[in-house]
Amino acid sequence: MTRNFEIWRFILRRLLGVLPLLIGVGIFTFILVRVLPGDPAAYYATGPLATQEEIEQVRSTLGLDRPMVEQLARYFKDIAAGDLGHSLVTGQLVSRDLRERFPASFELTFVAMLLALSFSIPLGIVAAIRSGSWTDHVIRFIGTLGVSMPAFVAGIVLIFIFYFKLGLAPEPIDRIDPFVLKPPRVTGLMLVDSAMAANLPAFLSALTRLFLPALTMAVIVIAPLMRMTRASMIAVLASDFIRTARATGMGWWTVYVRYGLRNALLPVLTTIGFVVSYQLGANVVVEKVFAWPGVGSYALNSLLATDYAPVQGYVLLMACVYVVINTSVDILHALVDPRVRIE
Amino acid sequence: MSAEFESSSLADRAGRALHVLARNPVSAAAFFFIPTLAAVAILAPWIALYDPNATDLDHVLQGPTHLHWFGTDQVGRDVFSRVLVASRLDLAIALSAVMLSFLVGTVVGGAAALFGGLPDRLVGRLTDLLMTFPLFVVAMAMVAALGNSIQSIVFASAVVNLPFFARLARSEISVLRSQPFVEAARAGGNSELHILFGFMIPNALPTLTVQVSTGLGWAVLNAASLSFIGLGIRPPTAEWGIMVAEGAANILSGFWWLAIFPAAALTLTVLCFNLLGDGLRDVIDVRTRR
Repeated sequence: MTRNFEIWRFILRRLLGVLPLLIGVGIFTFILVRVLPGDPAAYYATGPLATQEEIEQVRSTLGLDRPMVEQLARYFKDIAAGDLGHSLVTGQLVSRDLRERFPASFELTFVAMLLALSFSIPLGIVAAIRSGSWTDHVIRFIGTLGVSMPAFVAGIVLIFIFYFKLGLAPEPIDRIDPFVLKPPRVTGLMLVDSAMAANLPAFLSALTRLFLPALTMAVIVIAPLMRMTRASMIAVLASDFIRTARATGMGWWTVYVRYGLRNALLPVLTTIGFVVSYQLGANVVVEKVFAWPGVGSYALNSLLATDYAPVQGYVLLMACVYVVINTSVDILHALVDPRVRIE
Repeated sequence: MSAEFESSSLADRAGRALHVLARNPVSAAAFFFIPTLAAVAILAPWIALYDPNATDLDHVLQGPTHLHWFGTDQVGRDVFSRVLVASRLDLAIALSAVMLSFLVGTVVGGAAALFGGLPDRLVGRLTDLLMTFPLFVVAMAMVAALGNSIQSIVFASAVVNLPFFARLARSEISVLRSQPFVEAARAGGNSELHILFGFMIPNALPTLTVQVSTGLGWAVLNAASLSFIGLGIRPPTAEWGIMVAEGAANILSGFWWLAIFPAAALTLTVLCFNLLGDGLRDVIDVRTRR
């Protein structure tokens, strides 16, 4: 009974803590559009030939002549109603553009995270077991090399090797071969949609196109994840229960993975929030390199075209994604580890 | 950790530094490469064989030769000279950005830890808010808002580093605050200001130095990424990010040298700063010393 109460209190407190953060995020994006150069009223007016009166008229219909506080209140009301304004480049609602493109970025980031974890956890374990040895140094050096590589360098090098030199990867453009029949859009995730439509050629094409950009985004975050795995594994391996497990002659799988890794994984999971945030930033660059039709390239193109409503919507979306991931990681952590709840 | 600070003299630290470097050849290599890099950046205009912006339409897109070590680009500019000269700009940006975030972050984080209460919570909330956004996206927005100039790249790269310095300074100072030697200094009648600058900041410096090294790497990476996506510095300025962006268009025609050499220079520089940071961490942090 008390245990349940504690969990719920923690979750409630954590969720309430998110509110001021979200308000702060809203204020930030509100200010952002106002400090970006250019007069929104002039953009929304009919064009370069708009007269001063026309611009003034647009200004008052957009509410830009009102006091800042009133504009802010209006902005929050619009967000609550799901209205993020119009994109001048695509001529559509920003909310619609973002919904259309978000699955592409999500699929890319998610697969990249899986790839990164599947490299970094085993490598981190090996580095921890052989801590201080040559293997450890080599693994750590390779990880640091990955994190030192800007995302665009990693992407271009991978394209050069796998597409240009070896011819193993398909053309680094878009999510699927234009000559393959596209699966009907259900989730927007190309892999899931083509699997649901039992469309094997589409699935394979989507998978091969996804591989290089996902690998690029994985390479740059392997080092922090691996370092965390290594450090927390070293701490766990030094504890008494591991010594006891070793002494009783258990196999390496039981000692290192079943007992060791299980206890070492929690600190790794808590860093995922930060790692995802770093990946979302790199997303912009990677989507540009691979002409990937996600939200990052959408925001970049809008920013370069001085079309700010999409940029505002994108920044808002990214902050919300981060808040959702971080909050869920914290709550999961509290569910698994009772010590967190008490603090 | 603090007990270590009190007992270690300069000679001790130098000895330990040599010991750690001897055990970790990779860090040692980075340690010696950084001064070389700085020398190259300072002397670049004299080392460069050609004017970095001089075009030569008779010799476009030539592969590496003894005349042009890194080849020439699509308008015949010497890639080697451009890579060298670009190092000045990229390092200068990183250095000024990190100095800025070091100063602001240490003052803000230190003040938060010293005063506690409202200032502390305010600083905590603001850094949390800043970290809610992907930092590279914040940098992009800043450059767009401030206009395409070197200053705005510097400010953007400083903001990207700021939360780390503020958090680190805050945690370092709040640990040091309650240390016996600080209390002793206070009991001895030293002013608060003198305690801060005479006792706490010198003791927090080693840890902050590690962050400076990592931060330099990150600032280089950030600045180059911004110019790669077309924000901030404009062509034809010799800058690593721009050079890779321009070279990327040619790489699929087989002219790999345009992009690969600046990309390698960029990666090597960031790698050295990161390795130096790791090496310094080993020197300073007793816990990782084996």
